Amino acid sequence: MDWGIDPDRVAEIAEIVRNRRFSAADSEKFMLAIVGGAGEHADSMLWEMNQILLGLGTLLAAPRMPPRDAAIGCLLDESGLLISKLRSGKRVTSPVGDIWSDAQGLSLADGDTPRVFSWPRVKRNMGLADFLFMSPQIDAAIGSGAESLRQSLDILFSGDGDLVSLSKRAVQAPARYMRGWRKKYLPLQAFADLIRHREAFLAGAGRTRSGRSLAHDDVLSLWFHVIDAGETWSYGRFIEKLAALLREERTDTDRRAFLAPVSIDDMVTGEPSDDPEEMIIAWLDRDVSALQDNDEAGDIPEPDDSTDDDEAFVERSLAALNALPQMPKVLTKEERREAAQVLSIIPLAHEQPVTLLRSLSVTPWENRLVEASRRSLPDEKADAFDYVARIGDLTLLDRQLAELILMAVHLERGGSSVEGLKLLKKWRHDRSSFRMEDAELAQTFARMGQDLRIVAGSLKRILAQLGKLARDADLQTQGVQDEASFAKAFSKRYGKQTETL
Amino acid sequence: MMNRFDENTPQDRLVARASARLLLSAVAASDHEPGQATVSRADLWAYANREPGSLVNFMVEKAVRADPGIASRYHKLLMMKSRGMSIMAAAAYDNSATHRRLGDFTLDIVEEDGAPAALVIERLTDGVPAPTLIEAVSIEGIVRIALPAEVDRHIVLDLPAHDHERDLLRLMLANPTTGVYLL
Repeated sequence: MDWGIDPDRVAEIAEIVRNRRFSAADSEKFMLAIVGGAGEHADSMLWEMNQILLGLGTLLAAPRMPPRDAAIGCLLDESGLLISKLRSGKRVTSPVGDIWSDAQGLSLADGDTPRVFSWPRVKRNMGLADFLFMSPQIDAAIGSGAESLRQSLDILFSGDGDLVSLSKRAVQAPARYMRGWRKKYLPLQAFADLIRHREAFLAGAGRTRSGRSLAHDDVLSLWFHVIDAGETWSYGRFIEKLAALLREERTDTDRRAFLAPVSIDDMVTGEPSDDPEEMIIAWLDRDVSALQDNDEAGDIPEPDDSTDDDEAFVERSLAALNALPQMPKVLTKEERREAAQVLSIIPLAHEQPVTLLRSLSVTPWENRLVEASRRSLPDEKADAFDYVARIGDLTLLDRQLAELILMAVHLERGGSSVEGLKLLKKWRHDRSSFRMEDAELAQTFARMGQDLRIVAGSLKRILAQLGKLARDADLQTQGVQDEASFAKAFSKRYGKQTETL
Repeated sequence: MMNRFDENTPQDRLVARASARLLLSAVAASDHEPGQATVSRADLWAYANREPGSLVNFMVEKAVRADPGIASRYHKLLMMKSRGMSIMAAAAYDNSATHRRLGDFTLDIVEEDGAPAALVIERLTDGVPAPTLIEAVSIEGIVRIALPAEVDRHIVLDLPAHDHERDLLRLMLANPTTGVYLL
């Protein structure tokens, strides 16, 4: 899908999020760190990352593992095994200050009050370091993310200065890299442009002070306005951007859901303190089964810091979808894409069912038009705007999710319900990745239970709105009208006559 | 921008957070499935940390030589690890590839009539710790050799033809595309 973000970059980020099993809350904060919106200034997360690298490297150093190499080991370790052993406690008094770890987290003190980083925070910061490690060269002057990280490590482990000055100086190279990355890969300018267009549109309608909220037909008119102003955004992309902007503006007063500080987690203390060198050897030697065991032991969920209010709930739905595992295949590629398309335009999907139906119907058509205009193919015919069929698709997806939740409950309660057994049999028949032991499947379901419920809940609320619309409005007439409006806009936009059915 | 930290203004924050949400959407919709890497990160890191002359994981060595993705990840690891700074491209100097500048060090092959070839590493900067290992990576192979102690800013390593590994290193250093790392 064309989101305006390089798909290779998206794949890199997705890999980190999935391999490190980030929770929904972890993912949100991780993305904020990448775009530079996580703190008072764009680089505060990198400063934090540096302190943590310095702390971990110092604590995990061993005779044949210098601190610098230990820090590299930590950022490479997706399972978090190296770090998890520090929960049982360790203290080092180093020339740069006191550094210690305990069940609460990693602490660094340089004479002053110590800074404490909770373990989930440490985990996210290692994800950020991994992101730098994976990211490509921006240009000859800025270089690659790994090069910027190397420069950081050079300074951090030079011993030349105190904790604060070392970690601050070490921010410069990765900060420069991240600025280059954002400039090259993030569509920041598009948001600024969208805000500008909306203001012009509202001013043109005499609605600068009051009546600023946009109804579904206003949203369509705004898109026509934007296209007339010369932007080349597809309707689908425009709706995504607008939805992201609306969500941002609404939570501006209360953004606790997105920016809540990590609560100190109730981590269970691990085994008694181990020799760090042995731990590193153990990590290097571990086989796949050991990795799984340790992952499960260490995978104590972070207390959910979201509030119970509706906004926080919908905010989390995309992150929850994202956290659903690829294996077993709970969602096929197509189902995942469909769910993401709907959830990514919350709140519009929820509040303006017509806008949702328009977006779902027009996207495949416009994609073909774009493709056809690129390759100078003959004119594309319009798709019929069958809104009833679109609602049917989503109902089917909703049912799949309901079945998954039923299976989760069934397994959680010991696997004795008849309905649950039937569903399991059906899913195992349809999807080979479900053919594993009940106990293993139960663990998988237990891990994703919360996320499954969040995704299903959001979709259900959206479907309820669609159902209401289907009862109150004449969807067939609406579809015919919309098809004509889009056909008109497309004939201008893509410079050719578009034939309607 | 000259200031070290970019202050986030409210408008920037709004735009940044809206972008974070777009990124989240893109990641959620991504059907990218992490490919099963032939060599795990742990194996690669263990290989990068091996002692010269120790038993080598040939699976990893093979992957580094055959798989460009693994090779580039391994190069990144060595680059991050190498304290003395070393870079893969050769600086061709008076038409031979036997002179290289590696950050704070220079590297030369000295070949005089009658005497066996020798590798000479010179430290150019004060206060930089001397490397203890040299690693060369090219299509010819992967060689890691322990370096003798530094004497008067110089490290000298004989490269006699009868020593298979050192002879291979000599050959590899003549190839401008060989990656050379001082560790």
